[in-house]
Amino acid sequence: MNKSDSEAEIFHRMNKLKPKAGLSAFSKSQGLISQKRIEKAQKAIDDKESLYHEEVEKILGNLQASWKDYCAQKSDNRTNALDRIYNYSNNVKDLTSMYNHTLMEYFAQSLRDFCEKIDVHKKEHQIIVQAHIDAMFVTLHEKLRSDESEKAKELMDAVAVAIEKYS
Amino acid sequence: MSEPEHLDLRKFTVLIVDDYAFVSQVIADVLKEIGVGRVLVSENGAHAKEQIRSLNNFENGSNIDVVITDWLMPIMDGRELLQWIRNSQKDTIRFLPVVVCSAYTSGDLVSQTRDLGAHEIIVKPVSASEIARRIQHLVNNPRPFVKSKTYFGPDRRRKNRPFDHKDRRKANPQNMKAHYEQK
Repeated sequence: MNKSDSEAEIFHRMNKLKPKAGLSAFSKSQGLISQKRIEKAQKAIDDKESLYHEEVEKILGNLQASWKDYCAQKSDNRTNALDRIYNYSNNVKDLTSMYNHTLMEYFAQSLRDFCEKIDVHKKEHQIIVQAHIDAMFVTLHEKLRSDESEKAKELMDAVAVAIEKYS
Repeated sequence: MSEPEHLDLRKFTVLIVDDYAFVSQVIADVLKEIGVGRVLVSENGAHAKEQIRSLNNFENGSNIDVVITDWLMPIMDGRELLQWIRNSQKDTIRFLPVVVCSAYTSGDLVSQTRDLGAHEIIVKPVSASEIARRIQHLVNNPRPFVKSKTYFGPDRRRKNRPFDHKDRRKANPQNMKAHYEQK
């Protein structure tokens, strides 16, 4: 290692956040956010669960539209639609994980991960994506939450078979 | 040890960067409930850049104080935004505390965000206590920044753990230049 590789500068900055939060920059005390406020904030997250169904329906609609777009394009022009499918499935994953809808989360994550491997020229891969989208709609409309019910296992198996057969 | 005091975050401005409006709204609600005075939202890194540029052009009371950014986003992702922030020539931008908020939990992502100069990482799904804990940590425990040939960002050594390797900073003090910000 030469000298320039090991050279470093260290910047000791004034704590600007502490005074902005009403404490002295030099005080050793640890500033806290009150537990009451944190509980109220958690309630704000929990209250939004009432919007879950409507929200997932909206994203799945966008996802399906992007999927139609993907299928209608020539293979070389599919990247844009694929990016959207990736983002929408990632959005569904974020939302479902927040409210513990494990079955929908499973399909969303599986679809998102498959988007990274998909071969746009391979028709068989489209069957795998379609299987995910179908399973996600069934999950939503039948209000399946956990990935442990019989129906959930059936859907997961159907998607697993599609992946195994058409990968 | 001194008694803890309550933080008053009314003067704080936090920028949330997430392409998914539902999630950014949830985080915004949490921040408002814990007392943050101003919450701004950007839907991608490119938009966030514009907001940071316009509000942190020079130091004043309305600067963005903390950035909370998603990692995977279209147009400009969290990685590019973080790199842009750390490469800025302006102190009001390059020293900004950045919290990465991602559903990816792999060790790779953690080391990637750390090596690009993120302060904290929050794993989705978000909870109010986790967001509050990270904000508290940023306020109470600011870390010095380190600049080397390959890194610029907060000191990655968070704890004073004993370690049995050669401490390059102590071994070669001539290679270590310290800057102290004046009041």
